[in-house]
Amino acid sequence: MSVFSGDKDRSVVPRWRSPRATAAAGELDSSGSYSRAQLPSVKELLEKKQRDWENERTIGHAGDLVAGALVAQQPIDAAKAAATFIVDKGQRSAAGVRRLAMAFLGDRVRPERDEEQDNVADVSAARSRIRRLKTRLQSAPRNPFSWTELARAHSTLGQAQKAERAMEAALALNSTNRYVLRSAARLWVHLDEPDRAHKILLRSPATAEDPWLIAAELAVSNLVDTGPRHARVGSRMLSSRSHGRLQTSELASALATLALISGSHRNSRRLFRQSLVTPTDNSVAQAGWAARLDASITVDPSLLKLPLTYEARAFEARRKSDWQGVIDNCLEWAGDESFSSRPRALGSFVAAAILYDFDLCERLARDGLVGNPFDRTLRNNLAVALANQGPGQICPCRVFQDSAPPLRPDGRGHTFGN
Amino acid sequence: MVGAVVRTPAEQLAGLSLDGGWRVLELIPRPPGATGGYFSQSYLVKDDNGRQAFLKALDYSKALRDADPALRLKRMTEAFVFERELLRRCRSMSRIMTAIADGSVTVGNRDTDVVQYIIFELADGDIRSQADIAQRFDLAVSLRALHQIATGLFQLHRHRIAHQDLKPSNVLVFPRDGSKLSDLGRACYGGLSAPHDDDQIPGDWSYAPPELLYGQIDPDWNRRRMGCDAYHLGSMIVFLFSGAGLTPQLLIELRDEHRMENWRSDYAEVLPYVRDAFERVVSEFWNGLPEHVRDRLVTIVRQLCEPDPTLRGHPRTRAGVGNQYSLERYVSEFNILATKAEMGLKRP
Repeated sequence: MSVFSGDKDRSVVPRWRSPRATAAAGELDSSGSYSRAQLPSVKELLEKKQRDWENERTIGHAGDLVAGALVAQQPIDAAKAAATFIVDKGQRSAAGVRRLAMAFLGDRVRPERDEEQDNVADVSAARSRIRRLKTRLQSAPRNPFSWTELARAHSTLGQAQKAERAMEAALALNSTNRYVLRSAARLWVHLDEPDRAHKILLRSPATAEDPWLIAAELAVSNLVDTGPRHARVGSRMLSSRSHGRLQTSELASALATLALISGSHRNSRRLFRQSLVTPTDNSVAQAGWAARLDASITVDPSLLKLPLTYEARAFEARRKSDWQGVIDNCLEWAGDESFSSRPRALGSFVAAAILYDFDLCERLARDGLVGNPFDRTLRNNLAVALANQGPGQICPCRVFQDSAPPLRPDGRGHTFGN
Repeated sequence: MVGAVVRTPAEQLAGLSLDGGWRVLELIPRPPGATGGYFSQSYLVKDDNGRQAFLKALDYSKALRDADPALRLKRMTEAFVFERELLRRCRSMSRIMTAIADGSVTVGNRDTDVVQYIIFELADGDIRSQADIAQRFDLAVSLRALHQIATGLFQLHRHRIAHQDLKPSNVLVFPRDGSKLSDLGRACYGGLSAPHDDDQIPGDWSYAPPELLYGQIDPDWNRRRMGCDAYHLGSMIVFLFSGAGLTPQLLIELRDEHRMENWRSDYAEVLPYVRDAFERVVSEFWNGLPEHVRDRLVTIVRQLCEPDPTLRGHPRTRAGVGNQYSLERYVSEFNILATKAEMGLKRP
């Protein structure tokens, strides 16, 4: 029988997406209160550039005005005219100035190619991403995001040691950046080393001042014996309302989870409500999980329409016995967190146990085993799929012998990572 | 008298004779490299030998129409004296557009109508034309221009002068002499106090290095001033071959929440995002370069425009003692690249 055991425990451990996707989700905004001095003499300098452009209608003078307006974020009419002039000149305008003019007129800068480049959703995409990243790192080794991306691609391929080495390099370059720290925490939770994830978060001086990092520390502390260190700081930060609702959504969610575990249901309900005012997809999934344990916790169904809430949608579909909905959302979730076993475990379970679609079960289980070769749930589901596909298939018992890597000697599997 | 236009003394210099045999010909629009903007007038002048030049006349009368005339006059005078002093010190520098002469002249019969002026060499134009594919220099000329620009900065740096405002409109092209740097109005001189010493961004902010845009004021004079010049030199490479400076190209690659007007933490925290954007610009820049120089030029851009100013500069220079932003190695490197391109060699 196929199984799914990934819903027993859940922590709001950070999601691990590309830096671009993480920033697009609003998770990389600054959390400080420092106010930058304004650019000096903006009006005076732009007027001077405008006069120059009016005196000499050349691409160079137009470019100078557009550059000034772009840097100062001043959408003045003269700069729009200059940008249009540059674009109208077509190939006569040099590539850089043309790009500036198009950006000023509202064209996004290479969105499709960037998204394609970030993709590590499957084996071939991950391999191709690794090749590109290695080339880039040869000439620009100081970019910590290239190293975290390399780690993410290696994780997708189940190359744990390479992923660890890449993440260590990212941490050596920057051990205070929120994205790097949260990605590192996620990696080591994925590799069943939550103690290491916890230590990294505790060691960074940035953690105590950043709601996203405190949230990660509290979430990871659920998986280790030492317990949370920043719960009090996090509570104070939350009640001070010094940060935006999105900025503290996962912090509220992590505190709510701690309250739920300690049996403080009333407190937990209040905190989960707080976490859902402007939530991340992770907070929605966490609240959904809590609602399955405590019926008094509710999640507004409209929150499931938020972008990237595939996990919450998959479990909601399961609750409603919408099995195709489970599969569809598991596939989206698996593409979003390419290294994670949970979407494949849930999807392969439903495919086999409910839909009797053993081909789909096999595909999902095999995909999951690439990144999680020791996962017992996935191996079990693969064996079930093979056994039900009839003669001519590989003997299911070999799934546990030579067709897949051996189980870890310590018997630990990857059934917790979310 | 209703409707009569009252001309300021600085607007009445045409036809006057000046010390040194100079004769003022006509009022002209701001020629390439002219500084001072609204508070100065530019003239074409000619000496006894027929050599033409341009004259910048300080217009105090316009300052008197300012909302705070006393403050404006003070600033104008300080800036003028500072620039004149600096230009005198730079007279021996071959790659700096220096003053030919300076002085003052009385206009009309009133002794109080005195106009101060500086006479400069007259250039053909500046390098903004590089943005136009039809007018841009070929590879050899571009590389030679880079060599001359780097030499100009190096000459200034040897005298502890940081230019602070190197941009395409301040690189003038002369028919026989090639490229020279102009506009020392925003320069900083170790040893001479400047009116703009306390400005967060002394020069044109649309070409400023990112650390200045994010308000990082480094107390170390060398890192703040020379580091800025090094970045500007790297940005000039990007401009010469792509038609736009590095700073605006960097900013359009950044997400809105990481731009300086939205960032609420210090520069160190935003640095990884700036670096990531920088890498994307550099990668795009690499694609547009001639194959046989692209690796070398991109490596130099990476060194000179490194977003972390503490890591900026040539690695060998940084590893040694002395000024980490020394441009000496780049001067010789650009010279070699330019010479090989001039000889038509495909493998610099």
